[in-house]
Amino acid sequence: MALELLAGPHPITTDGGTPIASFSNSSGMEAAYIQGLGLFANITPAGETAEYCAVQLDGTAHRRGWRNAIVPLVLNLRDGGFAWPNVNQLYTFDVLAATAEPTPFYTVPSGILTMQVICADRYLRFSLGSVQTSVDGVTFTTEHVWSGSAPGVGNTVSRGGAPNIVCVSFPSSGQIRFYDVLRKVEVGGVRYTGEANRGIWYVPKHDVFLELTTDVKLKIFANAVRPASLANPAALATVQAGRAVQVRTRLLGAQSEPCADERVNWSITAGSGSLAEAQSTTDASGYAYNTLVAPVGSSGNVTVQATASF
Amino acid sequence: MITIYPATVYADSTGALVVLTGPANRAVTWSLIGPGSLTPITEYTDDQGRAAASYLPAGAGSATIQATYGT
Repeated sequence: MALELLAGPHPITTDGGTPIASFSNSSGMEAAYIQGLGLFANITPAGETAEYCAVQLDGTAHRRGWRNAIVPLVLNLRDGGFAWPNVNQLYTFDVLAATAEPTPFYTVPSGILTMQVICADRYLRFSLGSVQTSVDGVTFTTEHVWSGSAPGVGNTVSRGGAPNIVCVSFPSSGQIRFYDVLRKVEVGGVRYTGEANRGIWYVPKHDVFLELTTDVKLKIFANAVRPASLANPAALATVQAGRAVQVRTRLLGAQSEPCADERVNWSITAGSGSLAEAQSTTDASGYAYNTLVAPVGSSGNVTVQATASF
Repeated sequence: MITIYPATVYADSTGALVVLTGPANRAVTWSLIGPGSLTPITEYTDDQGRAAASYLPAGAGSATIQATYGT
């Protein structure tokens, strides 16, 4: 795991305690996270028919509506809320009533709508391994190729914490990326849950990610890298008696991502000298610094130890 | 160079700040000869060559503060 696991995995059950037999599995958005409701998805409880449920963070699914096959939902950054694409028509989706408005607000003369995000000036989809753009929602061209190692097929899309940012998850690689739809660039670096999944959604209000695991359980991750390795402290200049020298260590995640804002404890395990701080905090690059003071007249080796709890 | 703030320390004062200005990033050892107590604030000079200690007098008389730093 590369992100800090806060809770879960929680099995998804109905509020009556019935385990679910299946979870909607659309090729686009398997479900949508709706602030105030939860993870909105089409779920089939064991022995029952499919229905729309809002899944709480503890995995409890509350029924919201009966209609089947309304997912995937399209994230509507232009007008707010979500839209429902039905073949060649787009409908406003009423999240509270868990149903679509009766009249479409957009119809294409031919073709099938496959967008995942409605922007002010275009439509976007992430389902073919890159960011693709379209003016009509039917014919797409590549707008942006993901940086670094290919993340795979983008699946779920959620709001990214700012009006122009979306969060895209890649179930096969366990990657999460944020995309600025105005500047058309990736922002904020790649996050990893480190495991294949069925979708990840960002929750801006709590700054956490919800992951639907392959065995249909819910995990909650903090938007913080889980530390995996701490480098041995190194002096940034020659250590000699009578001098104060800066030393540093670096805390990284399993994918070598820097761990920011983590506490590092410092100590001297052998030799003479003192450290300016007993504890310091890693910066945005994962480095924690301290100052080693070698007393006047001292000699021999000094061993500095850095430790972090993870 | 050692500077003390305020320049005159009265016997009943609540303390004074002692500042050493010298080369940057040097280990500093503070010492006091005379009445009172001296508490190091920093035991090395910073990037500007400054280190500091706190002096608390104890009765009348004179005291000498010394700072030894690395070469």
